[in-house]
Amino acid sequence: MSKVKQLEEEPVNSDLEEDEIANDWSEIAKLSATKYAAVLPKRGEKEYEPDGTNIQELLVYRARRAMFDALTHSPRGAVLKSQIKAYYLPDIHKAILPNPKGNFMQTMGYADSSGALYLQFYEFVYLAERGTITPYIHSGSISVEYRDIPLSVEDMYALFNSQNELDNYSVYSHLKRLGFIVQATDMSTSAKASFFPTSVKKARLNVTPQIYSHLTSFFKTHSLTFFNHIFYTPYIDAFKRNIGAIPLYKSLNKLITCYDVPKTIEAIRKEHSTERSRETEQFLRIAFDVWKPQVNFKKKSPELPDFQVVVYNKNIASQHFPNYSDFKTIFNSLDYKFDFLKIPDDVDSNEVEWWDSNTYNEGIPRYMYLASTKSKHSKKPSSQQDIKIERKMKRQKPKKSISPRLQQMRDLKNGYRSFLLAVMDNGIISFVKIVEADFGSQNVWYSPKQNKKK
Amino acid sequence: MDGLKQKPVEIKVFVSEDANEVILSPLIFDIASIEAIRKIGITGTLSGTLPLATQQNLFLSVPLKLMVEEAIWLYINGCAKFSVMNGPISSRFSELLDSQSEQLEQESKLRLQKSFELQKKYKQEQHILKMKKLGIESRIDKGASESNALIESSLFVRTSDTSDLMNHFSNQQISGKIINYLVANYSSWDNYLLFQSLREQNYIMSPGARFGGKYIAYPGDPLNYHSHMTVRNALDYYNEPIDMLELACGARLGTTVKKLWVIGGVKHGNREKSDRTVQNLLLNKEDDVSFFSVEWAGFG
Repeated sequence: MSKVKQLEEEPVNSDLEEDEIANDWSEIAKLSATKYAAVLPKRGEKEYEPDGTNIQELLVYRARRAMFDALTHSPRGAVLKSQIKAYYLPDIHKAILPNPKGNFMQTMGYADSSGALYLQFYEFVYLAERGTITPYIHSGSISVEYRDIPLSVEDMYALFNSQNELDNYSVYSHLKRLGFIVQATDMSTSAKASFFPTSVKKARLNVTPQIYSHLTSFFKTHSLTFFNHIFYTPYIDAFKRNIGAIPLYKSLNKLITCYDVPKTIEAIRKEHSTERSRETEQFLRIAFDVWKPQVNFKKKSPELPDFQVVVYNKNIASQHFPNYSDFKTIFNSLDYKFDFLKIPDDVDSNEVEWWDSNTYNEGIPRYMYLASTKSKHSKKPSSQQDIKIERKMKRQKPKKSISPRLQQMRDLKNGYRSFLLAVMDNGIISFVKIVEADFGSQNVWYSPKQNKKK
Repeated sequence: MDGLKQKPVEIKVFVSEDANEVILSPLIFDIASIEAIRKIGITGTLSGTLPLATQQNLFLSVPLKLMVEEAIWLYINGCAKFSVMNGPISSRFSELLDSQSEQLEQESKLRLQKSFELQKKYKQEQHILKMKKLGIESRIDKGASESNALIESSLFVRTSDTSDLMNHFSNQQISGKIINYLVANYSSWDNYLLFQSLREQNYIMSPGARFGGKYIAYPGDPLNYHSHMTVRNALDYYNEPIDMLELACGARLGTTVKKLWVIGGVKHGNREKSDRTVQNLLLNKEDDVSFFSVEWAGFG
């Protein structure tokens, strides 16, 4: 018995690894008695291995009991008064809410003229699973009166069309539970902001840019190798002896051709437009746009997402881990808030305004687009909180000037364009951040002159 | 385990219309079944939102996602049966609704009514008990309509875990075929044999991608014990080389997370790889599974 007591009293060491800490379901089981989970319960500790004692068996028994008590006493659903009905429509693989209400409407679904809200399938399953909406199924025309034929969790999962869709859903719900705002890229109904002036990529993607890029790249490599071989190689020794190491290594830079990582607005846009329309496999497309939680989220015309997510299931035999060309295609199709871009100092606007003037909605600059939609629907008077936030944003103006050397170290460390790769392994998701690093062209030489100036 | 053999749990597998392709990996939706298989060392991974605490990812609820190896092990040991659903389910639902929607609605209405009555009864009893505790003799007649209205609005509409609609479908009988599809789609027989061998040594396996392996193996229920090993994908060690870099990576990582990095492999008997069938596996004594462990010695 003393062992039990000791276990209960032991403080949880937060340094322990994820796996080291057991999920202590007993704490969550207590929640079923109380009303609401305000804080996550602390987790219990684990032991090394079974030693065949009764006390251990008792502990295991208790842990399991707690777990399954929590599971069985956590029913899904809503009370009659606040019930929101959602009807799944098999023909369009979406759900309709005839009388929508609730907070989720700020970030999910889209409304039609009659005031009904349509939910994408992910949104539908997610909300039903957490008990926010009650799922029903409706077959046939949407004008026919709805019959209340309820769907179970099992039914909803049966409606997933492929393993891919189910995996994507797992990632979606994982991120949603963490509080992010998530939209599937392929089902977007909103006028999403884009970093690229024309969102109609295909039209621009005719032959010329391709040929152009081929030609330029040919010249680049050719000139480099040709030039270097003739002029540099014979003199390397002389350089070494007479001038010292720095120029030598500088010239070596030119010998080794490397891919120039796009770092500026122009470079990113150019790279994006030269991307061949090579179709990546379905499973390696960007699946989700993810925004950090925010008050002023514009569902209809969201700003650039903060992250983009690609989902990969490591167990499916027909899929493979993305190779170099897959990665390149993904990088070039990225369209998010490239957070490494530096807002020029001479611009007299805050960050939000800068991004608004450098992104595009439906081909026109975002600030103009927003203004045009605002005139149509008179803007809601912003709440106290919004105003506060806006003020805060304006206040955090003075930029810290960082020494170029520190900035360089940061750039090397953080890299440039990036996305999240969600690796799926039977329900366990590992998020990996994939970044383009630029070690090829960065010169990290210690130069005495610069130092003296300081 | 014997109890389970008499009443095997149901594992849902959704397949394409012609049953030639597995669409979703094996799932279990029934909490009682999940509890039953946990007792015999199959844990799976819960993946649905827990309605009690909807803003976290540590404690999750149904459905339970099973590794293919877990599902096959349960099936081969007679503890589970596969319930195979031919898709696309949405069109099958539509057909069902077209013919029987009225009846289905009636059924669900009745069920809801029953549940409401039970809830009302329970709530009224609770109310009376509470009043008695407070020393107030409650008169049911007075103010009954008011409290009834309150109770009415607080009735709970539950979304169930398991399906009633799918009971209307005719279920397809299961052959070993589905298992072959599962293995071909998500794993390999060698990996299964590793799993089986470890399970018979009382290890409990869970997916191991986050530690760079195929499985991680626990000596007991993962709720209470640390895992001991990271097991790599099966290696045909008579023919395949081990990559030096992988060896270093695996062993280094294993050591830092206090796990043994394990390479397992199957020495195939006289049999060809291709004539692995469920029947053979059941009779199988020829396949010889070996394990090798690598540790970073930190010597010298």
